[in-house]
Amino acid sequence: MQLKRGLSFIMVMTMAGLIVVGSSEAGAAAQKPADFYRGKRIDFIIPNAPGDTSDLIARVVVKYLDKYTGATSVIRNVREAGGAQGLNELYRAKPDGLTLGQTNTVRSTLAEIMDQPGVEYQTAKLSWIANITEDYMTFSVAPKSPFKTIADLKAAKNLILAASGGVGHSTLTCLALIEALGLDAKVIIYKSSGERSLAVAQGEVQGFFGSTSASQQGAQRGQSRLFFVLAAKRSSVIPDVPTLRELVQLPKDKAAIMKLWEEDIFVMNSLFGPPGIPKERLSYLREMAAKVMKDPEFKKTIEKVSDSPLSVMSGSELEKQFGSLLDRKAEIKQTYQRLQDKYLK
Amino acid sequence: MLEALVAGAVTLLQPVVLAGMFLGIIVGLVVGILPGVGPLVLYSLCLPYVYGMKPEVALGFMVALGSVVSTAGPVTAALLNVPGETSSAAAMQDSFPMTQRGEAGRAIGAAVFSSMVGGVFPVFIAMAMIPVMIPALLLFKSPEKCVMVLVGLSFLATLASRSVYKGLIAGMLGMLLAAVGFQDQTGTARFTFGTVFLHQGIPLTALALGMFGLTEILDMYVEGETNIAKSLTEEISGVLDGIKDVIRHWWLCVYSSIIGYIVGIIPGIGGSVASWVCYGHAKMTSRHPEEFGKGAIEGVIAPEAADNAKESGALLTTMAFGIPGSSSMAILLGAFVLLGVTPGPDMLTTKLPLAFTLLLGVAFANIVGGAICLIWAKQLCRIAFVHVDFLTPAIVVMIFVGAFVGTYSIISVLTAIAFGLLGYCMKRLEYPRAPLILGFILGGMFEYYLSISLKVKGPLFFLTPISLIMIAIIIALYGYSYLRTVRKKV
Repeated sequence: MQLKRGLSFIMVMTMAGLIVVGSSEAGAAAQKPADFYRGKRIDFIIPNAPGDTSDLIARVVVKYLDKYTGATSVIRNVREAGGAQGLNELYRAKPDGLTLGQTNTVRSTLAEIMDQPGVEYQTAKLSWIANITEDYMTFSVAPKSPFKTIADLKAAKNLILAASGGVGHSTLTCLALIEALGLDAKVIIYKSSGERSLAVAQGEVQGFFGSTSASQQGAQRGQSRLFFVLAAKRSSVIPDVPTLRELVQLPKDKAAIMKLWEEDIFVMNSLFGPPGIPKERLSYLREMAAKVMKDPEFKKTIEKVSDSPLSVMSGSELEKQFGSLLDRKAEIKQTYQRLQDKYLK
Repeated sequence: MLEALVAGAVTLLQPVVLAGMFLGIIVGLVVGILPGVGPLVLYSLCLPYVYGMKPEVALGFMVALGSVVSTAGPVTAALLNVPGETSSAAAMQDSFPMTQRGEAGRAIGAAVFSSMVGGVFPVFIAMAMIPVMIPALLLFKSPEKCVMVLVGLSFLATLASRSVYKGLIAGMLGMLLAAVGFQDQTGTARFTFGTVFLHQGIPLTALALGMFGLTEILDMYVEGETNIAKSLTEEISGVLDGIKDVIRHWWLCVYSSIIGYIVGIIPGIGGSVASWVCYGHAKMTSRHPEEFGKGAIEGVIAPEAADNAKESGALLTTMAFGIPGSSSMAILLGAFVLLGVTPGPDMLTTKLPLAFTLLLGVAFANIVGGAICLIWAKQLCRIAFVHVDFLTPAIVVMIFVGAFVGTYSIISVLTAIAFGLLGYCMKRLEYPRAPLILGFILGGMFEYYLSISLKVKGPLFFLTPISLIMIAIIIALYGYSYLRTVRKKV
């Protein structure tokens, strides 16, 4: 008898608990997004080292996002395995809109395309909120380099190009250039962009790819000289520097290799969440992100930490961008695996 | 330049800047004593709070904070055999044995005072070097860095106290462990067993904390010891004796500081190289090399001076080039950018007063921080007499937190435990642990710079003036050490 009472009590309490939890979830789901976010804590994951440009941009975005949503973001830098651990954690997070992240998304996408160990996330499934900055890759040479034209590069023997950050954006762009122009060159991968820039200033290497804003800073410091921009048209940041297309007319197959880097893959710093964030909350976050991007104080502050232009790409455009890129994953991976094996091993 | 120096000094003496520095000193000292929590973690935690502050105040705070961490770290190393920073592990070989024989005050006095000298003296070298900073830094390319690391590796055998062969085996094991992780040059994952954790390699902090801290705790319990210090042989005058030892060995302190400073200005080498190279060099040139590893005072003075000296070198490189001299400087560089100060040649020209404010701030922080540590040394020494049943839980917690903080992964804690067990086995079998740490730190670095040097210059990459001078110095040192050994036997 007592056992029956005990069991009944447990059942009733369990049901009551489920009802309470369920109703609070239902309540949260029914809440307007603006009310939902007000006073909430957002777990903000940055898969970069503190002080990194991506980290600094994210910290500025977080400050203004909190201002418009009324939430409080708690930033965590989770950068193990080149940031893959942070992205994996975000990918697996509960899709309630209270876990967000921001990083250089091209780096993370390339890691997925090349099937780098440790990558468990799928870029195309992330909930894209907004693109913050976008930039192109610029090729620079040493300040006193004799290379003035593409013909000079092609004629050079034992050219050494520098990259950084493992087999990622800058490395793959170097490999693409070597293959497209038929250069007699090899690639050295430095641990950081700082060491890479120093190597160029020292004359240890002859050229490197970097984001336009970072390359411009290096040129202003006298550490390098800008050569060309890898884009369909000239960059507004360095309008005097020509594009690769202006300097050389490549055969169709070689032009196709460079087209990926000129039009489909460029430096992007994007805000996103795990897959499956409810539509209303995602729309709200996109709307708030758009407000942040238009805030004059935000623009002034972002300029202090990054010279990269602010982006015009919305969350839905980012979805299409990464979707179409990942659709070509097999083709891109095959090409670059071949180039890696040819030039790096 | 003199006007800029005066302007920089005047800025430093502003009450708000001094207040920022004092706050940085206190935070740096308190947290610096905790093992595993070095400038890297501190800077990451403080970065969000400096945003919006005046650059002189914010940067003064951060520079002071980073400067005194290297001053406080030796205290934990000496008292508990737990390195506050991994670069304190070199001095720990002798400061902890000193504590065990009841000379904790002398060990702390020597460690802190030599750290102070190492933190202050190179500041003046840095200021004098400003006009030639950029051309000097451009001379150290990958081949020179490779040879520099090789010089460090050549001290592997020196670190072995009884058997050179055991020292070399331990060193080679360290180099093998350094191979774990993602190889940047070829994009190959080595010995990661498909885990994300090992992708970045074995974390050095967890390895060092386990191998030194946990091993000693295990050893104490197995041996049935009740206190760290086996006897009391000194009153508090021990601290003053330690300071006098540094003054007596002033030349060792000065040139160790110079070596540490040079290593600091070269990006990518790291402070641990300077500590271990100076330790090995001090042992080779000592009149009593057999005392090293058992409580030789030179084994405390040399590495501590070198370890702290690197900070001003790394700061100068970060300011002058916008290239961080170390991983903690990378975060400081972020702070510069966040505060609207663009590092680069402008810092050595138009913004020279700010550069001087920060360099003088390093010296100021070291003097004040070191003085506070020395004043509190008497109280801190009493830790060595606390019963192990009360002390070890606290030490174990500190070790686990220190290991966790590096990667925010529980696997780091398990790594520390695993290396604690390995370190205990090594101690029992009389294999020295110091060469393993040195091999681990330098093995990966050597492979990195060797692969770049071979690609850039080919197999004869070492035929550069600076590399040849370093090779000649090391041959001369070993030759001198060998001749001295032969003369002793005769």
